[in-house]
Amino acid sequence: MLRHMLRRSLFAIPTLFGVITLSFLLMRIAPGGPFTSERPLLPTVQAAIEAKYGLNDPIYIQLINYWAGLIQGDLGPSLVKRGWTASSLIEAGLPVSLELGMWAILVSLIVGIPAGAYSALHPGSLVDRSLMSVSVVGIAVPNFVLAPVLVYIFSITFSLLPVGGWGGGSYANKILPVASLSLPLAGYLARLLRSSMIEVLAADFIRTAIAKGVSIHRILFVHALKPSLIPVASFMGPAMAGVLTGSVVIERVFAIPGIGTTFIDGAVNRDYFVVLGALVVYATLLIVLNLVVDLAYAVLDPRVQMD
Amino acid sequence: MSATSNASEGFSVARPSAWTRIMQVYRGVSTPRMRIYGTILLAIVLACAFGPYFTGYGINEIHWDYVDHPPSFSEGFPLGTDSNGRDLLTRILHGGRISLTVALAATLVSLMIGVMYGAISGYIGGITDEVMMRVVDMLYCLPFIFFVILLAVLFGRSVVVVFIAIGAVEWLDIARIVRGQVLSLKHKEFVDSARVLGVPAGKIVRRHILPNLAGIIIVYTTLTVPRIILLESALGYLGLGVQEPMASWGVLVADGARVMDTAPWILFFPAAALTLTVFCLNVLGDGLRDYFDPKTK
Amino acid sequence: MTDPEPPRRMLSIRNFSVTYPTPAGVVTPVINVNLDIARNEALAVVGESGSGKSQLFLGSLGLSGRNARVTGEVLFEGKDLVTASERELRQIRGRRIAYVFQNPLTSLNPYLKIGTQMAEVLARETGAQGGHIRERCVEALDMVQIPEGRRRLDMYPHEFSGGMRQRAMIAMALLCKPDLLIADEPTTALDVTVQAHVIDLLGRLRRELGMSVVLITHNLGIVAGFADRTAVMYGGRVIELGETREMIAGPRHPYTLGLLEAVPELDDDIMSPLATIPGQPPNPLQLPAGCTFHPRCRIAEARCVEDVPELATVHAGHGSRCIKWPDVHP
Repeated sequence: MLRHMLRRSLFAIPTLFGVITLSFLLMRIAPGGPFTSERPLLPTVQAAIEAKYGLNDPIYIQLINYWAGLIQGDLGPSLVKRGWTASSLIEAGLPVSLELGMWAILVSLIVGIPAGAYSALHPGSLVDRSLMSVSVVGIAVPNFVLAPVLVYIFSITFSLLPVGGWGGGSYANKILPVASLSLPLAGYLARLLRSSMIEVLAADFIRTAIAKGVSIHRILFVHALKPSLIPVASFMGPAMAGVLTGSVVIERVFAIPGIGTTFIDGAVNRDYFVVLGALVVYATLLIVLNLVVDLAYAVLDPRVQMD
Repeated sequence: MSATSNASEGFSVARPSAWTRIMQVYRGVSTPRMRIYGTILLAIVLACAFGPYFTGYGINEIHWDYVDHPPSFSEGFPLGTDSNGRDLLTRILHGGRISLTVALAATLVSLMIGVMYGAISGYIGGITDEVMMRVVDMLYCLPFIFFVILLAVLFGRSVVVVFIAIGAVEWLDIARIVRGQVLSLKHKEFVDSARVLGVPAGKIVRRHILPNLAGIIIVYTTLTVPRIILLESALGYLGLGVQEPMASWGVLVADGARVMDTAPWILFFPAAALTLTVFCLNVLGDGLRDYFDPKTK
Repeated sequence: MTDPEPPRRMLSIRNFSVTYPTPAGVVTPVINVNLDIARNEALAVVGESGSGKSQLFLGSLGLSGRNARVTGEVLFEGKDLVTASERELRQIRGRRIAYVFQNPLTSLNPYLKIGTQMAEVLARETGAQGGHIRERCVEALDMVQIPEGRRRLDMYPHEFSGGMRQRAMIAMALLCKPDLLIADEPTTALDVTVQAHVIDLLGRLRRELGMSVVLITHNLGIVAGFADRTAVMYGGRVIELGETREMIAGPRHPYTLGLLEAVPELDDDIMSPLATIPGQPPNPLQLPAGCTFHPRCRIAEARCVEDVPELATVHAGHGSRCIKWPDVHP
């Protein structure tokens, strides 16, 4: 199985390469530059800056320089917020976004999986039907609609929670953003687990376990849970990508200083290195997360290990 | 009845016409639940298509006396007005036009690209397939939203950019699915027979393989359209889509979120329209999927 | 007639029925069955699909589907399993009465190692510990002639061949040295050569461990030489019951006769058509009136449609549910 993992990791490198190169080229091809926005500079100053950062070199040289720096961990300078490096700007925002994402996934798992399991064990019951209705609504409501609604209820009407901001990571500030990100995902996971579990529980081998006198407890947790989680595990890949995507919007809604905000600001201002840096970080994150999901999948399904 | 005589006896196997097949699917799929949601969806689509002509207002018609006015039939604003004194109902209906059109168009584009790419990759197989799928894997790793934002920011904020960006990314899913199907169909007996009989590859793909993909394509489409609507709304929310005075549902939601403490209806009605449409599409998509592949219930 | 009263009666099934509501109507796969099983007895229960042979024993152990309704009595050493609580049933299942399912590919959990699935039967016994449990599992695998037992415990079901899987399931059933082993079509999913081995194995185990074995099968051909007594089921009822040798030599029900005639012999004329029982198995939603078999029966007459025949005594220990049983002959 280790070989399997190694092979997948190896694929990641050209992928990353492709992604970064593509983005780099896109940015340079596009009209406009970091200096065409609001504050026009004296031509001499602009020329000096361009020379300093090698912005006049041929594209492939710039690309090579970028890669050289990347390998050393240097993401380049910020062209707009001078004095800052892209790395430092990203470093400021990364922990925030990571925390947000991590909590969102954790909460969605904690809420979604027990809900799905309960529904599977009591199909057709009132609880089951209510849970499933709620989850469908959760899936249909986009998180940027859910977020303001939650804010309306909890912050404006009842003044229980702050309207926005990160507050240095205080719990009160985290509740609504995490809820907006995690609840739709929780709904999806609940439905997925429910249908998967119902199918597993109807399988022959569960009947065998009952006939062997195995306790319901063990049947649930040892026999049924692992196979039921397989579709959930496969979904976690796209799910995490979705959380990544959603977090960009959520950061905007709640004015949270994470990477998404950094990226958008950078993109708007044509701050090339910042944008690229953020892209690199996110792409790497996605690739690593997908590897982890692959790993989880192999753990759950022994038949895959025979690769 | 001997097997050798049927050619001369003029037996013909009639292919069911497209219409018959559509009716077949309709009958199979039509549960009360599907009919209800289908009707709602149809109502929404018709309202958005024709409604703006009947409301009596333009989408940019400003009424200075009625800024941020709550819903009231008597004064002629059934859903109220927004912060610029424009009739909300008209803007919502028009926004629906935009959201739905973009979603449909982007879906069709991604469908065309994806189906062709997947079918070719799957049918040719071998190294070509490997390479083509690696490319897909690579693009898959690109964090979509960043790509779209990048494009939108670099090439200007307009519907077209959003549309291209979405279409360019969404085709990956369908390409993978189609390729998988083609791979498994490729080795079925009827394809082998056609090949042995000398039917050219293009014709095989067109007449034998593609019709068998119809089911999966339909399901994919009905489930992608709501996803794209949500994506486009998210972009609109971030200010990256259509520009003033046109507005898609996402933009309207953004507008509403800004003033929700004083004028909640500006948020509520567009949000409701968006959610309801997406919900209906998901229900219909689920129903179609259950029909075409009951195993995935 | 009442079933013969062997001195050591272990399982007593009395007036046992299983009913299911379905969207199309109520289905009764098992109708008023009376059956006794003695200690150390080999009983074969023969019938086609839908005859109720599996449902009978599944129902007795409380393993019928969710909506099933079960009536009657199933006395196991004095305790009525029909009214027993889940907890009490769990004590009996796997330990005192073991059920070996058909189709071992789907009946074993593909996500768990064989060793794990075997050990969990033993884990509930008091005094059993890790290493000791493993030893007993290896012993069980030896008993069913699966080589390299120790290594096999750490394998997954898909790494076993079909025959080995079936034998592993039997090994699993033996672990607690049950009083009764119910083997449901243990040969159906296997090659013919392997079938004989499995039947031999069952016979040998029965003698060595002194347990009773119920062999459920649709193949009358394999019961001779294995089963002391045979019960033939049709349409949810036992239609003939008696000593195997006697029944095969002289069946007293047209259905049994039909089954026997359908078994091809080695020295049959190769061009002669295979004998079949004409017609189709009965529709469970619309069972024929009177004797369930009459639509397919060669010797049916008017009075066969009137009432469901009782199990008539052909002689001690042999019963037949055909009112014309004296007329039944090849």
